Amino acid sequence: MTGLLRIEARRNPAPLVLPLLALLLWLTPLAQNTRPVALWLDRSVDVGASVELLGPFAAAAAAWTASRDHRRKMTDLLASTPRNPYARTLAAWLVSLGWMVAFYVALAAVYLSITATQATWGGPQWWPVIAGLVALIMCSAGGFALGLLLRTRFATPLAAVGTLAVIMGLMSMAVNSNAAIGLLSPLYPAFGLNALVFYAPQPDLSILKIVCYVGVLGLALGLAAWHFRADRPSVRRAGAALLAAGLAVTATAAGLDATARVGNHGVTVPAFHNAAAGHAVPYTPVCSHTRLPVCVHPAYDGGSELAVLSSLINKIAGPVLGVPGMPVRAEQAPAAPSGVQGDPPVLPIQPFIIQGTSLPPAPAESIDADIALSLFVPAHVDPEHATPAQRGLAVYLLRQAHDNPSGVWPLDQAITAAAARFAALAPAARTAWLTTHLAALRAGSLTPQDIP
Amino acid sequence: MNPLPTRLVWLHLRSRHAPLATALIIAIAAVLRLMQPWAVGPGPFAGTLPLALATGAAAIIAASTQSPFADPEHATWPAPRLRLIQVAAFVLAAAGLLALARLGHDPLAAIRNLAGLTGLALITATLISAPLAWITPLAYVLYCGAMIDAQAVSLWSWPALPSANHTATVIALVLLGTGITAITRFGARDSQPTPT
Amino acid sequence: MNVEVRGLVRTFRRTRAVAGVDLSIGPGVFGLLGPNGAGKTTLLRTLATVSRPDSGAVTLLGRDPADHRQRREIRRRLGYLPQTLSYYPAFTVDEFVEYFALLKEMPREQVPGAVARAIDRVGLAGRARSRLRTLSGGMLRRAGIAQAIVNDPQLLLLDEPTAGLDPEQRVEFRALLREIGTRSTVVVSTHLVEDVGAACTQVALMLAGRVVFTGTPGELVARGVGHGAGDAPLERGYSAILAGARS
Repeated sequence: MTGLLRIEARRNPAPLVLPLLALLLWLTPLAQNTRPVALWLDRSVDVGASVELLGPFAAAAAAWTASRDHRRKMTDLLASTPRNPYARTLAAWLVSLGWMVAFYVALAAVYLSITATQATWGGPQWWPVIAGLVALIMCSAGGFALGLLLRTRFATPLAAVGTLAVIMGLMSMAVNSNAAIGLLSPLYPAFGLNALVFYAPQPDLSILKIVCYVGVLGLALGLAAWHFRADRPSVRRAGAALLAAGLAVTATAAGLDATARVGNHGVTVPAFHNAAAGHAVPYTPVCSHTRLPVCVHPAYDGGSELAVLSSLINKIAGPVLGVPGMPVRAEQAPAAPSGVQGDPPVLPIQPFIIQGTSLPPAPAESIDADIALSLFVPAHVDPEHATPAQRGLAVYLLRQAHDNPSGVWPLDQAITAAAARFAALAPAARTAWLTTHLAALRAGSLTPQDIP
Repeated sequence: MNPLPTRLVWLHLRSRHAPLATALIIAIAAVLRLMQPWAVGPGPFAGTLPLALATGAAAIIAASTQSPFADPEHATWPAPRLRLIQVAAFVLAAAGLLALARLGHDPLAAIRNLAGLTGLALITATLISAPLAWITPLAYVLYCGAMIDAQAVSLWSWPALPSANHTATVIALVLLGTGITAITRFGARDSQPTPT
Repeated sequence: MNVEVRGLVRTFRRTRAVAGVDLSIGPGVFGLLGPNGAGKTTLLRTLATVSRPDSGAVTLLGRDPADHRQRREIRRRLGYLPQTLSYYPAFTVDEFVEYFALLKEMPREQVPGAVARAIDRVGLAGRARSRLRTLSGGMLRRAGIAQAIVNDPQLLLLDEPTAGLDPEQRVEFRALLREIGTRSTVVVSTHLVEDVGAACTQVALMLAGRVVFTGTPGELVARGVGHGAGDAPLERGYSAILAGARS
């Protein structure tokens, strides 16, 4: 067997696609995300999600290798040899897989090494990395089985595109309709990204994925063995055993998937859940020295994250600071965006990573709108549910900060008119009105027409 | 130019596994239709899924250009016209099927993307080989998916643009024209005349 | 006898490619002649354990190929060159032969020497490191012969082995066959009667799935005296037997 592996290693075509994969990784967000801030959990999930790029090519390389004997019309000549045909073909597949695994491991090593030089909190999370590796092996095995069974010129492209379509399709089902099966996509984050550093990570979903992928891997290898069942009983028995085991494990994973619950801290699977996981992790926030101090989790204290965030919040909230009821501090919190809360009042800020020195336009509008709306909605209320009067004042704040208010919606003429009227007031008049009407505004008792 | 006998065209198509290729393209369109609820709306996954399936159709069209005959066929006169008829028929059929599958969600973009990705695949088939023609369009679609995810869609990721963008349409048509010209003139690489 | 066949039948859909063949073949070079479609390749594929007969009994090297364990033992001692040799273009000649040496489960320590000997015996020592895609048709055929003989097979099955070889190479190849035939059974399926005459000690002639003649080349020549068409005695014998079988 080692002799066969040695020959295959010298001649396997899988390495030929590796430079293209490296180029793709360079062009995609995986490479872009290597700028500070570096969150270990985020980066670990990124490594696992690289299967989106690697999986289709791994499947295609395996399908190409598996279909090689038929494509080269070698089947008769090879059938006359005593070597176990399943073992012979597996050797070729293992080499093809080995190249892709080596690439994945190298990618993980490089990416996590860069993270080690940037991260300011925590350490690598291995579950998503392992889940990504098992997903890659599963993709390759699926392509291997398809290449053996579908002996046409279309097997390789179908393996590649089919793998991508399944990965994307499952993720789309999860995002668009909260379908449970979508959780099994290699792209679905193993951890609740909003709660990344505030709570101990729950590996439930990673474990569930690994179980499912191992089951599918068994099915694929079983189908491949079944293809050679006529040659010898041992291969037939192995194929039947792999198929049965793969089916059982996959069915178990499907059953467990149905019990999974998506929460703020990530996905919980009761069968794998450790009560100790998911607890809040104590930390000392890092704060800016601005008029409104902005405090972030130390994991986010990299690059210009704190400076950009505090500048942004102070720019938006500046005109209303000092009004009783307005926040004396802004602080990152893992929960969904909501209004000012606590005594003294604190503005909760949802964690997000700023790449470079500013937010890209599209999410910036949404984040700016959330900040502005959070100043006027009641505590624990999502800014999405802001009243028209609250939206009017949020539009005023965004315009005075020279921001695009299109993130505040729906907008109508009454809201924009209220914002314009309020902007036309003298600063003292604005402060005085807010001081007397803030409670009623937050309670939702005011309309845009009530704004002077 | 004398028209080619229908029998010749049919035999040529059969030698390129046209019935299987057609069945696969129909299956891809059916999957695209079934996945419609999850292939619409914002977000990288909903945007990339239709592109991935269009790549599948393009790859099948390109893979079908592989000739099992090599030199004996290259020594004949009608071979380029047969290749042109084959590719044109497949592109038209696939475009119609994918547009039907995407009815109500910018079917013109589906046609445009199929055209451009098929052009890429045909160029790859001419330069590398027909069964490997999927490499370039798939890599390109993965790049486009990344640009959708980063909300940085531009002409460099034209398949992600709406059908109203005429420059994207021109790019797709240029790619298709180049691909069809190349495959008609030279055929897929692994079935080109053996150099002496 | 290394090859015993009784009542072998192999049918493909409605075509009886082998329609009841009886053969006993011992050490030596055994030629298999016949027109296109006579069933030679199907018979050879059956002896190579690639194709299973629909009925009949086959014993190879004293073993039953229907039993998977015995089939494995047969294949370890078997060399096979199909009519259409296919290959992995990226492999070099020595990799190709080594690959088949390993597939034939030769002891690892014997493989390098066996590969070198096989390549040398077919006259490709100077091209051992060349990729198969760079070889001419005749060289590819010789590389195919090399993989068939790398394990010093007790049963060597060759289907049109001299296709693409020039006359000088054919002479060398016949000498190789005679040398192998002194200790093994070699079955050669060919259209070239001169190959049969020069190398074979026994010859069978097949027509429409049946064996219509078995004997020595001399006996084949004798059957053509005063009968048959052909430019050479063996050709006249060949055509005389076929004409008789068809009438």
